[in-house]
This record gives sequence, structure tokens and C-alpha cells, in this order.
Amino acid sequence: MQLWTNGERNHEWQESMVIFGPDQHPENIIERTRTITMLAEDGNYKSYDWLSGPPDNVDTPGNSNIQLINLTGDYDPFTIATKFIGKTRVYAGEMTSYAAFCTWNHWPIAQMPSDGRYASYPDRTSHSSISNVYFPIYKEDTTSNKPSYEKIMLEGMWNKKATDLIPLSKSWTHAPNLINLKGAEGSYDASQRAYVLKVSGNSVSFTINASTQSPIYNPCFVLRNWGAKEDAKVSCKGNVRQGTVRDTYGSYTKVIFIENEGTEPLEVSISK
Amino acid sequence: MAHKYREFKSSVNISNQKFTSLIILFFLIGIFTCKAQDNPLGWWTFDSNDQKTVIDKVSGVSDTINGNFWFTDGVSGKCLKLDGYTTHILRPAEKAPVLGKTFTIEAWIAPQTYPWNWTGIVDRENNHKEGFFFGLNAEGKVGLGIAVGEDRKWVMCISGGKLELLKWSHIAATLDQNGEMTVYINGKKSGNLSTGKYGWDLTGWTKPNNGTDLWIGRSHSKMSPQGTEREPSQKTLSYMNFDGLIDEVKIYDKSLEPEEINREYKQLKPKIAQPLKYRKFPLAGAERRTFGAINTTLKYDETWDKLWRIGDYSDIVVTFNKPIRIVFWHGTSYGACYVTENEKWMGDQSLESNEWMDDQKFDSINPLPDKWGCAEHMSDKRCLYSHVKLVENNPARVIVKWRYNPGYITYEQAHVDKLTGWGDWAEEYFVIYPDAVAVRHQVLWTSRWGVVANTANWPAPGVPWHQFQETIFFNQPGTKPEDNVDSGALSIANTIGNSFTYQWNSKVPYAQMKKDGIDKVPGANIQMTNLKSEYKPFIIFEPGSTIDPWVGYGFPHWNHWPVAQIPSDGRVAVAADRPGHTSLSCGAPISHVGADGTHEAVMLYGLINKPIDSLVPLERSWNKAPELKIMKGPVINNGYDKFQRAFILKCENGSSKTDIQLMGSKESPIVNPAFVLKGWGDKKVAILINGKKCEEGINYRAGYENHIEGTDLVLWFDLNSEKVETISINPK
Repeated sequence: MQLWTNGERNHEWQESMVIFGPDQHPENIIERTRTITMLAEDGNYKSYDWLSGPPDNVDTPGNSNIQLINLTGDYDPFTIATKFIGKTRVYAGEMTSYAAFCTWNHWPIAQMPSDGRYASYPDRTSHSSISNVYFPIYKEDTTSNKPSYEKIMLEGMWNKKATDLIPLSKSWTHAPNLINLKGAEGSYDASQRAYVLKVSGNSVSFTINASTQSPIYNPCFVLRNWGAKEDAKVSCKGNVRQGTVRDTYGSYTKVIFIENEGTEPLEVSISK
Repeated sequence: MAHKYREFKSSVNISNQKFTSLIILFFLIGIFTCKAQDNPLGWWTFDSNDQKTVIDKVSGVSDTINGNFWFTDGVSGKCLKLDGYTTHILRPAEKAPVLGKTFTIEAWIAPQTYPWNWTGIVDRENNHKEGFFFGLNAEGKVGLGIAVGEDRKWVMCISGGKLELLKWSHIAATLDQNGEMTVYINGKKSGNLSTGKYGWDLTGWTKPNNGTDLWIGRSHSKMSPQGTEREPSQKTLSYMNFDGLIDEVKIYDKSLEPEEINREYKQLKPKIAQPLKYRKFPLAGAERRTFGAINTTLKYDETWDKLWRIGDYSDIVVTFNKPIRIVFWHGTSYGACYVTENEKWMGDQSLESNEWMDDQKFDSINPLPDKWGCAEHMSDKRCLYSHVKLVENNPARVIVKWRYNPGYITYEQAHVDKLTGWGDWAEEYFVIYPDAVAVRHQVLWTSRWGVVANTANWPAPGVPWHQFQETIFFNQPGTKPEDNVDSGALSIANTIGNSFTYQWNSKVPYAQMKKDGIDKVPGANIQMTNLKSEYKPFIIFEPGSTIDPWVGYGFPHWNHWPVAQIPSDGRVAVAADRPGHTSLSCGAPISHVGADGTHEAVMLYGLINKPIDSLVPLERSWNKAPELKIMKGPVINNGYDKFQRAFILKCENGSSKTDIQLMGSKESPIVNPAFVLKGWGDKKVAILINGKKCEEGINYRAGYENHIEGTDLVLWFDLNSEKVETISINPK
């Protein structure tokens, strides 16, 4: 996410919203127990309920960087940042008798010019906001005449335990280094969740130096200057998906995604 | 001179008696000859800066540089590079040099472009009633302005000569005790105005405004560009900024004599007489020789690029196995550009209308079509509405979707519907094949539909209209229309191969030439723009469409678009300094009513390095597509879709062996046909033509596109034929 602004850098970058169609009530879509689970990479976590309304504070564990929202479906949405800063804000100030969650229907779908309208019936599309998490700036430009700042996070859907997100989180916040890198140079780009390598030959090989602190979780490799659109030969443990991207100057970039999880080093070799 | 002396002194060995004597001699000469110049009130050398300010070396005041700026090699040491949009130096009024009855201002400048209108090199005027102005105009002329007389009449002394673009010039202006205003270019008098001659006294000037900041590089008075066509744009005022290099700005509180000005000019000699080059449109993708689209953000010039609050992947470049490309660039508000092998850029107009801005008069008859101005994509200077998306990008074809608001320079919508609040909106699809032929499919939503505009048969006042097509090519900075197009700029042809070329600047009366075109090419629906290039852009219309050439004496040349950020819907170019465009004709395509009540049109665009009559088979293959027969396979023939230039087949059983025949003939030839097999799936394909095995990438190209309903197979064939061709499509 990149925002150009001359204003103060106090923008809200994330708001956990659940969207309802007509005839859907928030309490039928969002679980009121364990509504939010806040999780740290060390395994500490705490779940918060919305039994009769929002909890007072969502501030534990203090070193959390993972949020999982508990919907009534199988899959639940998660948000991962490098770290959460301060207390997670809970939407509690605009409660009505309609639901245990603050609910508005000025968005989505609505064409009425309004920036806030409480929902009273499940007649229209509506949304509930659960929380705001705050996380660090990734990049910023403070000196030019088009100042901007950027933030990154991981978002996705999850049908496993909250703690099962930890390897994914660690693989991104503490991505394992590549060792014995031959035929290319480059490093991990968290904004792509991928290793971006500039290739100098017909083949590339390396070892993903995984460990408990820096596990492998479905790594991706962007091989710039690859120069061929045909499928590459990839040798490693795990299923491989690949695609080709063409850049402006006619070079082909190869993108390789490996389905693999683990804490042991993984050897990879890729050739044309 | 004193600082030069000090620099010189520091560089010699003072123990050398000869040098010492020489230095003393130089010093005495300096004192004798350069006394006036040694005592300016303000002197900006731009040699020292802290990246935020520049120092007036006389007063020691640090002046803020506003906007985007750069330092580069100047006439002496460094100079300031100004962007023409934002850059100016600000000296607060309370610290500004106080001029007496007489004064002199001088500077070295190298204009990248001439300003849209008078821009201040040094400006401290207020509402043209107080203060002074020393600047440059849209024709490259230098001027000095002051207010004179009891009523503070604003008078300007303007040079007869004009500055050369891109090169360093020394400019100066003086006001002497007799009210004589003089401007100089490169040490020579170039203009003179005696205030006394006209009975004016200097009352206005002798009470100069002291409450206005001093600006370098920008005018205090907002203006519309010189050459602005319509009243609304004339009333839309902007600051005028200098675009180029400035160095060695000096202000004196006395009027220097002509020989002193000349000495100032000769004192410094730029190491590089021409430090600037004309800007060029983006070249990215020009070297590619493979078919496909690339998402990228094209760079133009650092001054312009720095204004844009956009990130990566904002533009699209489509390349081919030929030295040509189709570009969708934010510099043209994303209107498609067809670029030749030698960087001649062809564009086109968006959907355009011209209506009252005032919604209260929405339903009234509009007696003055120009009352507000043009509603078109050109108005969207910052691309607040206009953007492109890559819909398909596979070996067989590329589809680009362009969405925009054909609105006004104020960003107001045209034809706002009172009930819904929606105005005119447009989307265009460009279905582009490897043979560098693109289908342009335009879709217009409007609550005020009337007719398709045709300049040859303009609707009566009060009848709403929309223009769908206007033949426009671009003039890159440094080029005039004549540099980019032949005098015989537009050729037309019809489906039987008759052709005619319209000549601009011809001795033949233009009404006669228009008549000749119609007589010799009845039903013309093919046109080619004769750019000075090997590849030439063409358009093919549906039968019944009309092409109205705007043939005349000389080519029109506007530069309010592309690239320009000035809010203007029509500015006649004063010089060939900026990117500009020229219009050659207006096409009135057949309009179709879409399923959503939209008004739509379809045309073929492309680039070809053959004569216009070679386009006849393509025209016939599209307007009279050959019949397709299904010989074998569980597919349904959904017919030929002109909006895709493709035969549409619906696969009832996924990927299955399918044999088809294309009934090619002279009247309905086969020219590089495409097929969309809906629901084919992702199975690879093997192709036979007339029983012969074809090679992918040579005889045909295949692409797979995922949609909500399933995966479609897109096939494109490198095949030209006037006979029946049997094609077997087999899953591998």
C-alpha cells in the first residue's frame, strides 16, 4: 500500500471489516466467542469474545503480530504484520441495539452520499468493523514534493488453528537466507513475499537456509533476466508452479512457487 | 567582477612579480570599468545551496526554493533547473531589494520551452498596478513591465528579438531616470519604450509596491495560455512558470549603460551553448520484437514525472514482431497511441461532446456549442478518472480496457443526469492481434444522446451530439506538423479499392478537393495517415460510416494535450517547443445500441507498411467475414463478432476435436482469423490446416483465458486466403 500525502502521517491503514449481504445479520456471520485471536510468533496468544459487546482491551499478547477473525464459516480471515504497534483498536463507540458488533450500511453497495449510517435491519448490504491493527511504515519519502509512505501486511483465509499461522508469519518476517547461491544474486523482498534474483546464467541453484526461527512456508522466487518463456526444470522437494512475466525491454522473468513447509534447509536448482 | 578577481588572484602564484603586476592592472581596470556592476542589490549565482535555499550573495539572505528543482552546470558554476510547473524562488517582501527610480535586472536563462504566457524571471508586480515584472513570453520575447502615471497604467517594453530555445541567453532590462525602458538580449538592445514619450510619468513606479514577495521563475499574475481558443479556458487562470535553466540573476538600483550591459554579457561565456535537448516521448518497449503487452510506468522527463503521484504498472505497452508498438500512457490520458518505427506517434480522440456546464440549462437549446468547452479525455490532465486495465495478455491476443470520463477541464461531468447524478462515462476495449491490427470498441453511457457528430454535416443547434473519432497525430517537442506528416496527409479508400489522397496547402480549393474525394471514392471507409514513416496508421470503418477531412491551408497545431498539465481545452501552439497534436479528419462511425442502452461504435486501427489499397482484403474480411461451417465436433457456432474480430465457438463438451471450414472468397477473404472457443478448458491444442500439421508460434498462436464460467481457448492464425480453408482443432 502506498499513500501520497502532504498531510500528517496518521492515516488508518487497516480496518477489520466483515461484509453482510441483505438478510445476513452480523451475529450469524461473526462468532461471538473467540471473535478475535491475537497471536505472537512465540506461540503466545489470546482470544477475545464479543458476548454482549466488544471487549474492553485487546492488548495481549503484547508482542502479537497476527490477527485471526473468527467467522462462522470454515475459513477465517487473517492479518499478519511485522509487528503490531500499541493497542489494537476495538470498534466499541458506535454500538446500537442491533448487534453485538458496530454495524453500518452506508457501504458497501449504497449510493446514498453518507459516510456513516447505523444499520437497524438486515435489509441492506452492511458491514461491521471489528478492529484496527497498527503496524510500522515499510518505506517512506519525506523529502520530495510528492511525499508518500508505504506499508505491507499479509492477508489471507485460514481453516486451521491460529497457531498454525506461525510458520507462515515467521517465513515472512524472518525469511530464511539463501546460501550457496549460484547463477544469480538477490535477496528476499517482503513486499512480494518472494526472493527476487537477477539471473546471470542458464541455471540457478541455492539452499534455503531454513530453521525454527526462519522456516520455509511455500516460498516464491522471481528470476529476473531469465530470458526464456518455456517451463523451467525445477529440482526440489515440493510441488512447483511456475509462470512467465515479460518486462518492457523484452526480457522474460520466471516466477516459481514451491509448495513446501519446514524448518530444515531446502536445496533448489532451476535450469532452462 | 570583484569576485572573479578574487578567484583569479587565488589561482596564481603571487610570488611571481609579473603576475602580481598583471593582477594589479586587472584590478585597476576592474575598478575603472565595472564599478556599477560590482554593486548589485541582489545577486543569485546558484553556486552554493543547501538543497532547499539559494543565497543572495549581496545580502546573504537565503531564499527558499519552492517546488521541484535541480542544480546543474550553469554559465558560471551551477545554475538552477526549473520545472515549468512548480519551481520558483521566493524572497519575502520585507527582505526584497528596494529599488529606486532607476534599476537594472539581468540574468542568464536557457528555456526548455517558452512559457504558456508571460512568466517572471524576476517578478514583484501586484495586479499589474504596482511593482515591476521582468520576464519571458510565449513567443520567447523578453519584457519589462512597470505601472506608470497617476492611474498606474501597466506598460511593457518587449524585445523585438526572441530567445533561442534550449540555449543560454543573457537577458537584461533597464529603467533610466528619463523613464526609458530598454530590454537587451545577449548584450544588445532589443526593445525600447519611453514612458515620457506617451506623456506618462513614473508616478506609478516611484511608489512601487513593497508588500509583494519577489519571485524568480514564476509570475504573480495568473493567466491563461497565449493562444487559448475558447472562453472557458481563457477564464481558467494559472500561474506561469519558467521551464529551463536560470543563472546569475542580478538586480541593480541604477540603470546600466548599454556598454555596461554588453560587458556583463561578454564577461561570462557558457561552456556549452546549448545545455538542453528537446524532450522525447517514452521509448520503453521500442526494442522489443515479440508480441505481447507489458504493464509498466513510462518515464518522460524528470520534471514532469516528478509531478505524478502514481506508482508502478500505470501504463501498458503492446509490442509486435515489427518495429512498432501501441502505447497506453498517462501522458496522453491513456488514449491509445500507435507508434511507428521512427517514433512518430499517432493518437485519436476519445468520445467527445460540448455542452453547457450549467445543469440548470441542461434541457435548453444550446445556441453556443462552445459556451463551456470540450468534454473529452484530454481534459483529464492528471488521469483522475482515466485508467487502463489489461484484460487479456496471451500469445494470441491482447485486450486492453480503457475507462474514462469525457468531461471538462474542471473535472465536472458532461450531461449529468438529474435523477441519477451520473454524467457521460465511456469505456473502450482494444482487442489487439499479433498482426498489429486492433479492434477499437467504444461504449458510451449518456443521458443525452442525439447523433454521432459529423463535421461534414453538423447537427442543428440544440441537437445533442457526440464525436467518436478524430484523426490526431502528435508533434513531439522540436517538431512541427510538417515534420511528421506529408502534405498529402490523409488517404482514403473504399471496399473496391478506389483511393484518393487529400493534399494540405494545395492550390486546389478545399471544397473542390473534398468533393473530389467523395466522387472518386464513394463509400470510403478506409483511411491512412501519411506520416513520414515506413509504417503508417490506418482506420477501417463499418460501411455507412463517413470520413470528413479537415483539409486546409496549413496543419492545425495545438499543445494543450498531450502531456500538458495546464487546464485548457484548446491552445494553439505558438512554437514547436512542447508536445502537441494535429487533427486531420473526423470520422462518423455507425453507432450501435448496446444491451445496457449504451451507444457503441467499432473500428479497426493498426499500422501497416504497405499502400492503402492493400487494406481492402482486411476490410472485407472484417466487414464481410467469411462464413464459418462446423464440420465436426460438439461446438456451437455463435458467429463472427466484429467487436472482437473473431469467430466465437461455444464448446459444449470442453476440449473436443473440432473441424471447421472458413468459406474464404475474394469478396470475403480470410485475413489472419481469430477464434474464441468458449469453455475449451486448459488442454493444449494441436492444429491442422487442410490436413497439414501447423506449428504453434509460426502458423498459429494459442492463448488460454480464465473466466468465471471457465477457461476459453483463443486461436489466431497467420493465414491469408481467398478460398475455403479447413481447420482441425484437436486437444493434445
